[in-house]
Amino acid sequence: MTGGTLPRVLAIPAVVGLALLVLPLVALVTRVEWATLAADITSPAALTALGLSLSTALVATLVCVVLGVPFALVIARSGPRTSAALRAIVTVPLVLPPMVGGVALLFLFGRQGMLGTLLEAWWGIRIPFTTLAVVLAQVFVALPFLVLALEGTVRSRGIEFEHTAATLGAGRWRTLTQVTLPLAAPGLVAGVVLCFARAIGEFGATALFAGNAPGVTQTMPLAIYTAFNGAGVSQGPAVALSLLLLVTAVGVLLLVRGWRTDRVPTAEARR
Amino acid sequence: MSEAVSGAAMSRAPRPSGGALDTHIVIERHGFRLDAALAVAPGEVVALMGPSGAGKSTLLAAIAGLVRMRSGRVRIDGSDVAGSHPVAPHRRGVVLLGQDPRLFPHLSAADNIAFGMRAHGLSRHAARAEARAWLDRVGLDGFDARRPAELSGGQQQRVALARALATAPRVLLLDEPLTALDPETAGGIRTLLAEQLRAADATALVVTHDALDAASLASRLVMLERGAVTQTGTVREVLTTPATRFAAAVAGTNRLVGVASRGRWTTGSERTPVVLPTDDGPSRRAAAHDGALLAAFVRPADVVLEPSDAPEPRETRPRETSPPRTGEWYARIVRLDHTPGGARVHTADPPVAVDVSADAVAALGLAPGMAVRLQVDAAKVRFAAV
Amino acid sequence: MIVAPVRRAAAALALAATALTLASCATDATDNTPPPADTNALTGNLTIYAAASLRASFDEIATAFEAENPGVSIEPIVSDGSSTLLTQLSEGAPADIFASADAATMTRAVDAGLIAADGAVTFATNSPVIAVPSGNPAHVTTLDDVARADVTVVVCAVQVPCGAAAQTLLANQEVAARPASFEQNVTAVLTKVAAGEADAGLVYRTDVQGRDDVEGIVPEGAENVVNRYPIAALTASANPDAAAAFVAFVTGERARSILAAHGFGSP
Repeated sequence: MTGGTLPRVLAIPAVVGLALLVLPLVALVTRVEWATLAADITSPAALTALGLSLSTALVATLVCVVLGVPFALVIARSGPRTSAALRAIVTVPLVLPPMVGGVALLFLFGRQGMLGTLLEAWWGIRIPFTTLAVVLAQVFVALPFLVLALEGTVRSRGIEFEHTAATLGAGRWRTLTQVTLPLAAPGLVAGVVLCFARAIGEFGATALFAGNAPGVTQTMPLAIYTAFNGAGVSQGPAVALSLLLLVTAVGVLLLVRGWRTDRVPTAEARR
Repeated sequence: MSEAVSGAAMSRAPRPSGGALDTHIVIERHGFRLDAALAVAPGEVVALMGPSGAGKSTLLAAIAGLVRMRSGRVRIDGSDVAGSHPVAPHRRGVVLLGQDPRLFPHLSAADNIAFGMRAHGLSRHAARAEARAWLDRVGLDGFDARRPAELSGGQQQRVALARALATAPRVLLLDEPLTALDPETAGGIRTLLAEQLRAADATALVVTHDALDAASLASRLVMLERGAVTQTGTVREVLTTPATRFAAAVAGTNRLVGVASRGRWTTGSERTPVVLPTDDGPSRRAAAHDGALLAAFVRPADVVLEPSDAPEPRETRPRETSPPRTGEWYARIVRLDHTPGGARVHTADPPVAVDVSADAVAALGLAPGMAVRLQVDAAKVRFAAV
Repeated sequence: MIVAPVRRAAAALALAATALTLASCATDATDNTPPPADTNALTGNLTIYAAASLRASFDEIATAFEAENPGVSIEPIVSDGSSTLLTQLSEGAPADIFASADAATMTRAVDAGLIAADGAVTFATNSPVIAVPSGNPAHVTTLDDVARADVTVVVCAVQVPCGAAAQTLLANQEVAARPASFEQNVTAVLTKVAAGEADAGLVYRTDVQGRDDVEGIVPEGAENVVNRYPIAALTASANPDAAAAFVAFVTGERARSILAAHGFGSP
């Protein structure tokens, strides 16, 4: 802890905050039925749900990177009014209840939806109840995280390095790949992690838009919800799945942190 | 191609020399207007000085293509890169080096230097080798793998210089490169700059606020004030006969505006005129027309100060019989600025600064409000038309 | 630097404060004044947890009950899949009445100690039906059509009574359907069908009654799959007199006619 610049009383709300975040997880772990845990976790339903969650979240994250990085760069390099407007728009899915997002996606891509009718009429593509719908729902809720995290970093780095690169002879692409993005790497990594975490945890929008079918659209959160609701009194499977998802999420976080500190030695570390 | 400057092969950059720069920049922004024309011959170094807000950085940014001009031209080796089809900054061959070295923090010193070369198509291997050679040239042998965060300010500026020169720019723009450095480090970099600019035969425009930089690096000096060029000439010319008050302050010389009268400079009232004679031919010629505005230049070190016996300044008229050898007048001390060797005494009417040694200050007991008698030898006075 | 004991004390204090706040909130929820012993009039509030398929009919029944017992105020009915309701009740959700869409769920409630062993009374029956969007765009006529590859069919999750009924029906008729989604309650299924997102859904016959955005097709064998709806007062009810009265009301004439009008069968 830093030596004595903060008012000491701040420790109390800080501890309360910590408790509020940690205690529910502790409570969860205490309800695990250890006897049946192994069976619950390795049951086909659990593994299918986990596999689906991981793969859809991964694909969604990739889509977010492909769409979000250019988007973030455009916002970061726009004039103040344009960027403020774009940033506001990007923030909407963040504050929108995911259910509303699901309904909105349904109205766009559903069979009676704005684009849905076209997609079905021209190419016979139907999106609801498919894995694609899951990915779309996840992208919708997770994209803002990536865009905002990256945009903030790029903007705070300023444009001077790009100017320097330009005068040294670097064209737009070289400047982007060798200067802008490497300098924004911390923001990008943070954005990707947040994006993945949000995608894998998405429930409301997927439930409404994609539905709940094991192996196709039943992601971990949906599986947990189904198990919990149908459990009546015994929640063994629901708790086991929750624990599984928790461990997976923490694992991903540690993995990314570990990679980061390996690759980018900070100035402090060298001193 | 120019000849080798010295036999020392280590210093010589194996690259072609810089191009010719001919510009006229007009920029209008937020109530500020920059309208300046300047030219730099191939291989020439020109210093650009001016007060803050004069537009120097804007001028450099316009030449580099980082700022759009309202009108004007930027001709490099004859072709206008800012015309109807402006050439993008990365294709102009114009490199900008500022106060802030702005080394890419995620690249090592060698990779920073190699950056421009790689952008110009050099292979990674060749660029790295060349980068190592440059590090040697700027006195940072062995620093290849160091990150910018591990370098001192002076070391970073050296790497930045190497990075700029490594691309063999047609025009090198330096924006106060030494301002952020302490005097000792700045001195080292100044020497390095002078050496490398000569060795590379670079065409360079150096913005500085230090006359010493201008004197050691450049052959010509341009003064920019409030968006316009107020004086241009050789460094020596501008510093000996500065055309504006700012220029005079930079040159560290007294510049007094008066009126020409019979080959001499005069000011002051009818009762207490101050007259300054000169020995210098061109100065006499400048003072040929009676009544014309005339600027007189006297270095603070060339003015002789003596305490005044009389409590009030007496009228003195130089003797009419023979052309007087010295200008003399009485003045009151307004302010004393202490300098390393003594003090710079400021007097008023006319505002003249006099350098006085520490002993004299003590011996004479100089203080504001004191009356003194000043005189200056004709050989030390120069005139120029205003 | 915060000394370790102070940290622990701070944590304990915070936990105690939080716990107290939560406890007081919980007790505030069902603050019913007990009915005065000396009069016959019932008073207080009633919280009813009813299966999704009972929503519409129970709203009417509640209004009728309130009309007869002006001293009693019935909270907005909590309706969802019966299994979801049971989970909530077993986690301590405060309620007075539980009406589920099948006996199996009620049995689990009894096993959990939420209902007295003989406290449940069957008051209605229901059977599954195929719901299709109005106009029947996929031309579904029989249960076999539901298994067609080009038909998107949605059913309830198997833990929910309507899902169990659907599964029984399909098993009985030996139809291997591949549902596109397993919803948590029958209303969700119906909504998807009504919106045209699904070509067909297995719901209760009561769900398609009186709606013009869906049509109902009675499949073969439906009459053999009968859900019996039990209702019971919860042992933890804060208003046992009113609860008992409500249970009696639901099995009475008035309620029965309301249920019949909605398409429920008699028990």
